[in-house]
Amino acid sequence: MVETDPLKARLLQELAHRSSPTARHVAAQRRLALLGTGLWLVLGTAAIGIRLGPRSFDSVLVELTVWLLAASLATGLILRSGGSALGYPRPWLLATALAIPPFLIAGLLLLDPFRLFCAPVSPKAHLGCLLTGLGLALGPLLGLLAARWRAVPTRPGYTGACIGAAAGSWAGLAMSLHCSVSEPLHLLVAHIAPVALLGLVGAIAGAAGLAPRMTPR
Amino acid sequence: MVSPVGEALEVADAAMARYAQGDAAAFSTLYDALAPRLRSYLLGLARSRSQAEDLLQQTFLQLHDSRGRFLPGAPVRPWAFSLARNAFIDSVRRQKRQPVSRRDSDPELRVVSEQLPSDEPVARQTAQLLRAELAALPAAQREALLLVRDEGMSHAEAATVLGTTVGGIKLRVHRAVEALRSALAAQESPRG
Repeated sequence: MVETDPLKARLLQELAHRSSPTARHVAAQRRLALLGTGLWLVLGTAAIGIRLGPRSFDSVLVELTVWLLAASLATGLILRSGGSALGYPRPWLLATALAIPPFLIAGLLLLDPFRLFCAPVSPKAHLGCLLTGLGLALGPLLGLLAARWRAVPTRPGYTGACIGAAAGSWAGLAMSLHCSVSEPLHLLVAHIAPVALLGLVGAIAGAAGLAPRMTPR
Repeated sequence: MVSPVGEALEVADAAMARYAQGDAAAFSTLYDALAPRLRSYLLGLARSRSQAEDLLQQTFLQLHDSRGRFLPGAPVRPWAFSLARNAFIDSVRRQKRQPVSRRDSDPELRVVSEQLPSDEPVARQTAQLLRAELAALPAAQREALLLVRDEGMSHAEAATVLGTTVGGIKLRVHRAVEALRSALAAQESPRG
């Protein structure tokens, strides 16, 4: 049959020679990215070691729960898409990315007020945890970015910010098993500040890489 | 009962689901269901008919390249419109285009008004005026109006495509309608 629409005819001709990944391929790539993320976190936690220190079991449990809630919420928003191919609306993504650091502060300090009476630790300890946390966050950051790569047509920067916050939260979860320092300043500078920083990095990376790239003509 | 528009969208959704799975034959159905709507939307955004056609081609090529990343079972219309919008924004960035000005001098956009019967000068004048005013609207308002009034999208759908809130869309549409209304009133008043 001869096409009466010249554009349609041109497109059919061009697409016959132009391959693109199908849903099955993309799903497999996504599974691989998420598996890599999980492995990175497990191996990273094993490498830095689990140290409960003088903390009570309840205190560790509270800490883990708060980090897990933040990480799950942000990751869910990134991966579940809310039934739309365009993902969750911008206000949801923005609110989540912005709300995670205050949520962590509130959760970790209010649910464990004894932290306020802890002795201060050296700046070297802050730096050590900050760098370790950022290193641990690298896996989830890259993995989640890969899972949504070129798949976010609207406001990719907001999704990127959520990805950064999620990566920081997963790293924070792993760090809470390793770092037994309970001092509030250490918590803010070495554990929660990286989440905000990664949100910013994620926003920049997301704006650059999550939107579908237009085909060069 | 499903309206003809709703039926066409269901056909498009089903075709997109098959196309995302790799069924190349579904492209033809998808194109037939989406192209007229996308063309109309892009004509409202672009400088000329040829630019709109070029953007439409870009949109479908992008749709092909991204088909595997389409969420299975999701409605295809908002996604396709956001790809079209991105194609437009991308072309604007490439050309470093000046802010949209009144485009009634564009010969390609005069086509529609020239097809009006010659014994209807008022209708022709009004159509030209509306087209010029639409072109002169800020891009955000024009896009919102095209999606909600022309395409019949809900405020929520249009908000998703444009990456804003429902309240933002309502405000943009309201302002756009007010601007067009004012322009029409200004045209009417000299005749008394």
